Amino acid sequence: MAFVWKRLLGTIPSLIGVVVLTFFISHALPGDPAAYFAGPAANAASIENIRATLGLDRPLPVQFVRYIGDLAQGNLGRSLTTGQPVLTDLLERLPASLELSSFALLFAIIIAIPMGVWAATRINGGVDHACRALVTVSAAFPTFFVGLLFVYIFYFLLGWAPQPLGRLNEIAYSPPPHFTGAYTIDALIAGDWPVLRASLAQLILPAISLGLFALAPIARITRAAMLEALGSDFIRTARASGLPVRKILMTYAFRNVLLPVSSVLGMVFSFLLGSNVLIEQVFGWQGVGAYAVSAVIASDYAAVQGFVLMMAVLYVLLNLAVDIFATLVDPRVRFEG
Amino acid sequence: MAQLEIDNLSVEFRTRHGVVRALDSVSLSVTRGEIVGVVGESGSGKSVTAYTVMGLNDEAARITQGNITMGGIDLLAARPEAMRELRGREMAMIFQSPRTALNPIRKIGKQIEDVLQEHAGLPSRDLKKAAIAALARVRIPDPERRAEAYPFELSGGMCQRVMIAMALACTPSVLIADEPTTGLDVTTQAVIMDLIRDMSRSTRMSTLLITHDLGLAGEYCDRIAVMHAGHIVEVAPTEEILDHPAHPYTRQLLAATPVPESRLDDLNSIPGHLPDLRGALPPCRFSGRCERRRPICDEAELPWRELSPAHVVRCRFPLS
Repeated sequence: MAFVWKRLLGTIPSLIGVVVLTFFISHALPGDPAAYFAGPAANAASIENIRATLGLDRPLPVQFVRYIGDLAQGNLGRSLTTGQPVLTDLLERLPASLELSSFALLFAIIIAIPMGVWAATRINGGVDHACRALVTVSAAFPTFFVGLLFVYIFYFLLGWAPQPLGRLNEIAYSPPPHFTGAYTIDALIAGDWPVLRASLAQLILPAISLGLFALAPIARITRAAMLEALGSDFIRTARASGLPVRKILMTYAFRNVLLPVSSVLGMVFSFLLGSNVLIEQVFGWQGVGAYAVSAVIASDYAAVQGFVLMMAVLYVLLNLAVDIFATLVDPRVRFEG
Repeated sequence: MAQLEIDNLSVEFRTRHGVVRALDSVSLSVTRGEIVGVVGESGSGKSVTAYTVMGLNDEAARITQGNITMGGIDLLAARPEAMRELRGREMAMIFQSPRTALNPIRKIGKQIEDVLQEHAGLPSRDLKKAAIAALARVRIPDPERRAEAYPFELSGGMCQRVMIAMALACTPSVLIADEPTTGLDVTTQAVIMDLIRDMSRSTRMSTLLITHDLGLAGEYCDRIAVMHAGHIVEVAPTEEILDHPAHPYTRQLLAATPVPESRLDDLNSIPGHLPDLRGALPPCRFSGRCERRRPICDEAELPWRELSPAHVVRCRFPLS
């Protein structure tokens, strides 16, 4: 437990860095929020007026101090475009993005890990070649392109998938009662099978197009780590002790592979959260990615800062989770703290 | 009949750069309770011999001729699954660098339990006790606590004891020790070797000690086989081979072995290199490094000379 606290304390400097950086970068963005907010019909005087009410006429350091003060009270500011507190906006949309990324990661894990393991046990066999081909293809195509292609094939041509317009067809179904914010999980908790089915149907294309991108690094690392484990001295010992193949592969080799794979999973998941920005646009997904894109276009400082800060916090928590997992898998990490 | 009998064994490796004839007509036997040393420099085929006996050779290895029997079982004819069942139960192996030879993220007690579970036919509730007993047999102090340790928490010497405990957990009839003390300090070496000898004697186990250290083999083995470039060149009882080496290579190996009173200047290195084991080789693979070589050495078939029933040498002109 002391270890968890130590890691948490260690993240504070990077969080401070993120706060400072996002503030200045978002203010360096081109575009004038006051002009955007005032609308196309406004004259110079009314824009100046709005600038003053927003506090944007003050020097940057003053704005920064005010920003920090608000942040300390959990106030991320108010979005210019939605008119709501940024924190409310983000918390409302975050579950949708997490749901999408998690399903994408799940899809990638289910395919990539068995594939990597299998490929490593039969080098240059059929699965190994298939693995290499899939890795190359999935890494080569940009996520949004795959997403568009999927929409074209599975919605437009084949008609298998529902219209790619968000998380649920809200004309036919009403969203499930709010527990976690993820529609699939909430529907499952509520036992609302039609909604579960409908939300899964909406989820499947974006999750797969996002997940394909995650396949490559996971499969490659699994294969490489598995190869290394299988060539190691302790596997030779296990074979010399006449342990059954299954036990050698699973208990001896694969458990040693979990460590490198889990650290890659953490990295891949944070990539996925980032790539959400594109895929949410393609599929009309009301997540934080789409929110961030419109905030950048509108020079909505508070929303952009809030988004980046939230992502940073998510990364930190994710890395912490990976570290904790590592201590569960590998006793050596536990002792070194 | 010997417990382990290797007869006329030849092994080659198909590599990208040609066929490497790693073992050529190797014959060796170990009776019950006997410790036989296999000595030679790196690349002489000692480990390939061991791995072939265990059935752990690389996929590139081909056995081109010969037989291996253990307690009457034909090992080369055995199916892979049958070999797997023999490994760990009837024949076991310990390796050099014991710290990496153990699974780093599994408690050592568990690793011994894995072997017992597979071969000993014990009910699972007795496994833990049996693993602790195995640790106690190799004189590990406080075995209950040590069973809960991970390899990185133990010293190299302690890890090698754990390896021995694991190898001997099912009281195998054959033990192959491949450079078991390489990388351990001298005092620990002696402790480990004493342990291996005591265990061999008390369980009447046939032990094959593979080492590059003729001095170590001389101290612990009943008989010694000297290997060079995939050939066994001389086999004799330990005292005989140390006092009256018959093969020029054995004599050079002895001259290259440090003894307490020798100074650095007294040590001789063996001139030349092991021959390239690909392509055509002369009948005597040592002839290229031999100062006693005569033209006939490169021509006719190489005979075995029997100096006494127990002392054989593969040289046309043995030392006397």
